[in-house]
Amino acid sequence: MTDAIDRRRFIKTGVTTALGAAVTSQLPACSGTVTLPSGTGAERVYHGGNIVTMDDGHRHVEAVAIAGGKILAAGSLDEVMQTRTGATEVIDLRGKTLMPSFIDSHGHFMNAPQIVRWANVSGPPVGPVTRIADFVPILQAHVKQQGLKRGDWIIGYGYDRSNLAEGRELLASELDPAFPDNPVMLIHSSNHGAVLNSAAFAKVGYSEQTKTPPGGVINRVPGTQKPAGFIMETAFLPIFANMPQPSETELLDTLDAAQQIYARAGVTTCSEGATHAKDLKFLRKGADEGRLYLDIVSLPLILEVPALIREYAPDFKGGPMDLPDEAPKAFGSYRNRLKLQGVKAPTDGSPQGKTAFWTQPLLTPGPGGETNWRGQPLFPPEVVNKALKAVFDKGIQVFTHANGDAAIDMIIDAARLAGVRADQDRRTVIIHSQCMRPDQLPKYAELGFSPSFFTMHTFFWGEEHTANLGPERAAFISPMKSAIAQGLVCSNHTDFSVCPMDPMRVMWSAVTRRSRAGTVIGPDERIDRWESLKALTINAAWQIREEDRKGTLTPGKLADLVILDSDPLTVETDKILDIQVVETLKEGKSVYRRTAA
Amino acid sequence: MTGHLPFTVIGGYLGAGKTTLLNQILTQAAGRRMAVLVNDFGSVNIDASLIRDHDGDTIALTDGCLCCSLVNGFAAAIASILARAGDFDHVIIEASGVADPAKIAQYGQMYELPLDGILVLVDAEQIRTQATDGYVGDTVLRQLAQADLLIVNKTDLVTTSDLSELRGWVSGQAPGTPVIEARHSDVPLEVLFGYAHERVAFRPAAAFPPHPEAFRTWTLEWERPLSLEEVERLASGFGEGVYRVKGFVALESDPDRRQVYQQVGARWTLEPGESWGTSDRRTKLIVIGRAEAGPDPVDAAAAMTGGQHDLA
Repeated sequence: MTDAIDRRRFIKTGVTTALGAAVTSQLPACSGTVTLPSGTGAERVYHGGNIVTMDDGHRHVEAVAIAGGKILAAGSLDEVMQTRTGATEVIDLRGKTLMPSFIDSHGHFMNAPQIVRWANVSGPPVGPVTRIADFVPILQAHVKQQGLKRGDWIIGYGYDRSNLAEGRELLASELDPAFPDNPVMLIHSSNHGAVLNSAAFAKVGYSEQTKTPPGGVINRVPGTQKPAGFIMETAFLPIFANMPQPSETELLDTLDAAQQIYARAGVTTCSEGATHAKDLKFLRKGADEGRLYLDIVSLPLILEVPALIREYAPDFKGGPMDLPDEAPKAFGSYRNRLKLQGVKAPTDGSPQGKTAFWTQPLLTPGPGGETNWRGQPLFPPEVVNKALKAVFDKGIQVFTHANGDAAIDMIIDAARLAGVRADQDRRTVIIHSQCMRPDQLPKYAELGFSPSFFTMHTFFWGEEHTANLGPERAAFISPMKSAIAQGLVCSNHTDFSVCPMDPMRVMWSAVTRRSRAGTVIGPDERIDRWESLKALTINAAWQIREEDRKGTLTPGKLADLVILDSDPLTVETDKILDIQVVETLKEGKSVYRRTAA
Repeated sequence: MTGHLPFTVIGGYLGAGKTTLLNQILTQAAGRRMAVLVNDFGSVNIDASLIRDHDGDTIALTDGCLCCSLVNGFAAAIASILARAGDFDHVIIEASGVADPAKIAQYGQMYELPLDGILVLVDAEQIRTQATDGYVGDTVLRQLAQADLLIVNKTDLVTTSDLSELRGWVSGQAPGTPVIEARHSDVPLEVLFGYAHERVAFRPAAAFPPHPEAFRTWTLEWERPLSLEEVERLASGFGEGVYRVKGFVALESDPDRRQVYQQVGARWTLEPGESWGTSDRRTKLIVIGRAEAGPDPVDAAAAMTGGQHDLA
């Protein structure tokens, strides 16, 4: 009850506001003049709290009015109240914070339908597991919540021995008594291994007789050849690849739970930032069946664009480098809450997996033990140049994945060869821009590039980056302060489900850049709270060309709102992580409301 | 779990001729049912008359070959092949231009497929430039070092003196690795592959006509069974003038079954095969090497174990 918002409905008994004629109210600079058509007014007015507009010109207002899914007015209480009618619901925020809801600038929505079917067996802060005894009750609750039956797979994600007080691997024999008839697979946080119970070993055909494949690990019960539980790499990956896949209907039925991952974090625009053709087909189906209540922005992978184009140009036979003139029609507008915004062109892998592409070698060996390892590009530069030119030439927005500075150089080269300039307003987004060099920032400015940073790396992999890159290069990962100083529009993302869908943790990481061990990774690149929130709202909206409809509390924009239990701009720094979402609204409709604790 | 479906990795940087080679393999498979995993259908140029069916990620050919796109990832592609492993004799994986072919080979081994060899194509005209490229130079050099067999392709585009200089450079980058020189990726299948399957007829040397100017074939025979130690000595005795060795070995320690011997470059395997049945229980190997290498490498290897050879 304590968290419920006071929803006193003001029922008017008499006509107190003349609405027969147009009501005009003068509002402060950020909101301008609102002209109400005859007979309309606010459906709801919020006041009595800390209302943050995310507008540089006017950061706070006293009240906000919404109607028809849009923001009707924002300003002083008196001004906003002029939009009130007899039917207006007036809501007292009671000191809570109201602001534009968050925009996920880069993540993988298609991981959500899978994850909601799995149990979270991660350690803090991602999940609840700290000791061996935690697993069975968590899995039992999951079985109950998912309604799993005898014989169904029970799958968990985020397993990692390093989270366990015991410091050893979980054993099959510790899962068997509770799950004698259900195969259990707890996938390692690296996605390269898992713990299986005995029913699972039987299901995949692993026994005493199974030889350990080259490059694999099968832990054995001491003194026997019996698999003990944990398997890795080549002993795991083929098994995982051959797991039964959920049916389309089963997946469609997860779309509500999948969207709730975002809604409960205050996010109303989700990113599907590397979309395969089959995933897009699935999302389209979900959208057209009316199952989406949040916006999803999809970036089809460049190699799969020809398949998508065929829907608009059935005779099209070419590859990604010879797109037809119809190609741009596929992009830029929502249909049933699903929008293709641009083409995703990945150029390298991940820095923590050492598969990014750098100009200078790492200080540690490569993923296969290589010396002087600097990673590799995913495609030859000739291919990147040609493919990106084809997309640029068609005026389609380009989103590239680039983690290492050499991968970033390749994109800079490709854009220059394609004649890209800042004044063309292309808004080319360089997703991650993780291991930049300082000299690349002016080039971003010259080419109109916009980085989507991933500052949570400073927390989750800060120590690894320092070891691999050395302190100087590590200090410049996701260099947000320098990028802002260069005049670049920056967003900041979770890369969900690589990191949890937790905008407050994204904000905290940009403000503190503190690692798990408590070291500040690159103190000079810490930014202030206002900028850190802009990266989650208006700047993220700008990157997907929705700054005219999302990201600030400006009249005319969508009423995509979040109510937080405390103010991220003023709360004690480490308390940012404890901020809770009270309610999330998409176009004025509640899509998540915290239940009373 | 997957039977013995051997696989070959074809690597090499962009433009080296991988796709040309794949197209040749697919159109000349001669009874070998090849499953080919490619990065992009766009570049595979199969004669339309050979295409039996085109269904999403796969193109089925009239002679039992199949082309499968890697667009949904290696695991999905290999799973679809293995689901009908009995329909194929051999798997070929096209590595992307910047991939380490040895890593692709590891993926295949995860599925317990025996590696038939890593073939790396080299663009005779461009390789020296590629090797010094700031972005991909180190990748290109790793590809050379990972090959079991190097195919220096497009030799028609370089002068004789450049080619001669290139030979020295290549052998410096991949010491001991045999090098085939080719134009238009034209390399006989007998050199590219070992036995795909026992189903495939053992091709007598006399029936092996390719490129007499470039290749030479020997058959090696032994009257008595060999010890494992002798086979090991034999395998390491062939020099870089020998591209491929394949055949059956009569092994002292396993008299009832023939052993299938495969060698490409320095990589060799000996796997138990079927029972000898009524066939002659003697070791018989086909050796394919460089014509200019002369009989010396085979002589030397044979001499160590008392074998006899015929120059085919």
